[in-house]
Amino acid sequence: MAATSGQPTGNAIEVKNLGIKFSVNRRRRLELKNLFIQGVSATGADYWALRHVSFKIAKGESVGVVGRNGCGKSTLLRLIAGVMLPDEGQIRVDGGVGAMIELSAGFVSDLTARENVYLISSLHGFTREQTDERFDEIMKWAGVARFVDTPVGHFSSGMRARLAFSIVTRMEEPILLVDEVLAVGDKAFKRKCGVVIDGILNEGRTMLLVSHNENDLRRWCTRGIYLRRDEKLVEGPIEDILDLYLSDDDGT
Amino acid sequence: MPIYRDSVLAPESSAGLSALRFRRLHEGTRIRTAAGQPLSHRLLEIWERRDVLRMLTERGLRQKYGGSVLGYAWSFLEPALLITTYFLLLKIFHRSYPMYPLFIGSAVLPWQWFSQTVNSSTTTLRQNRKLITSIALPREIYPLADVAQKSIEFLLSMPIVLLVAWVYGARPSRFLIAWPMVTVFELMICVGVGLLISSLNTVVRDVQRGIGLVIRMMFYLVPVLYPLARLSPPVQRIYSYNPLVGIIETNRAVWFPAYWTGWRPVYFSAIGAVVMLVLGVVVFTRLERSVLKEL
Repeated sequence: MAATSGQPTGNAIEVKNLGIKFSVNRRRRLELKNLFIQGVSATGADYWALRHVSFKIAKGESVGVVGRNGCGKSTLLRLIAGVMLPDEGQIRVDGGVGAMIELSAGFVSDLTARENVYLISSLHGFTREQTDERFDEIMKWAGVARFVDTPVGHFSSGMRARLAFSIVTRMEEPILLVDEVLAVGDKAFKRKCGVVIDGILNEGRTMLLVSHNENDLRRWCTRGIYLRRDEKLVEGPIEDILDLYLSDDDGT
Repeated sequence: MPIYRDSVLAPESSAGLSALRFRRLHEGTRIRTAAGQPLSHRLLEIWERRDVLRMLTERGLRQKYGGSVLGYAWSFLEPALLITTYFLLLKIFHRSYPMYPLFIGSAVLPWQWFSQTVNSSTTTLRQNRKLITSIALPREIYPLADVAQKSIEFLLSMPIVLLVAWVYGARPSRFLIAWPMVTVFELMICVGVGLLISSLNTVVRDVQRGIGLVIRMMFYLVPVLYPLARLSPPVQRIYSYNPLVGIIETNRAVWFPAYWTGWRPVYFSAIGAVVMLVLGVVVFTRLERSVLKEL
């Protein structure tokens, strides 16, 4: 689906032997001794949310990520976005990342839509003037132009998702991580998202899409990554991955 | 080795920034490993995103001053009320010092700078939770923006001391030369403490309550309401281990050189500044991984 001409070469994302662990009981006692010897995560019982995960994503590629709830899809996206750090292995990301995780682009709920757009844009490295240029377009696309000065905390989840998608796709980051955006929108929104995603892929940007919807995955992704719990990650053409994922699902 | 081709400094103009942004987007390769980054790369990354640091600092200042009717007057009013309160309290219960408002004012402002930095850094990472968990920026920027904000507030409240001094017709002493030095020490302490407490408080929940208590007690254990010179020599020696003591004493000595007890406390301020800064950086780096999981 992505245009092949004039595409940047090389890998956008390289994940090597990645692992991240969380502690089972989140309320830990901190021992100062451990703090200086190994860091806090060494205390208490841990489980690996992801382990021995390796894959590569070429520039301009669009890859779907599937897996059951709690298999570590969001954690994987966070690690690639650089808002979590691995406990094992390494991640190499070439270029900026626009991430829409858990239907949010990083909204501060007591700030208005306008303030959030400016804040998030500036964190993505945009100047005020550059945001001014895009502001109306962002609001219009999200269909929340009437609520410019309403705190985002008062938005419905659909509105929030639309605004988040609108911001993240206009940050022009070469790598886009999208987590479940299409699950909350209505039909019209899904169609609009489709157009934007087509455009992004045509520009040769890289996308990682987490979704439970096979049609969306088939439409945009050429390759798939299947995170099986407690097992090795499987990757391959999206059709094969979906077949495997769905047959696993039927089995239980 | 991480590659930082985008580390060349661009001019601050809008065009320069967007060029910098373009390079950051399309050439900047980030490698994140379990081993973490060396300190020099972390510092470089913070420096590269100083635009964000400035933006967050301005936002904090605007929230504090811009949002209220009184605006900048608040930065005057706060210390003025504080000075009046202690002035009245000590007039009633205690013998007073000459030019007492100046005596208090010159010492209470550096103290306020420190205590407010501590207070705000307990909540800074949690307050910016959504941004931290969505956009990859050096995490140090959030506590640093808080420290920067408090430091600017400190400088903005300085005119009140000058005003009081002018009213009393007081002239600064030769200790004015040492003032920039101890102010840098205090800045180092604030940066260290900001990094230390912000990260520690996210991982260990009890910290916040303990900190409030410690700060309140500490207020009476630093020579703000009284000069160090009033204490007996052995107590003075114990006091001087507290790095804030030398800083506060120097601030006061600018107007009251008669109370000066010597440079010993300032040596410990210098040592304390370096120790706090290193401790803050080390603890923040150590805890970052856990903080990000916890948020």
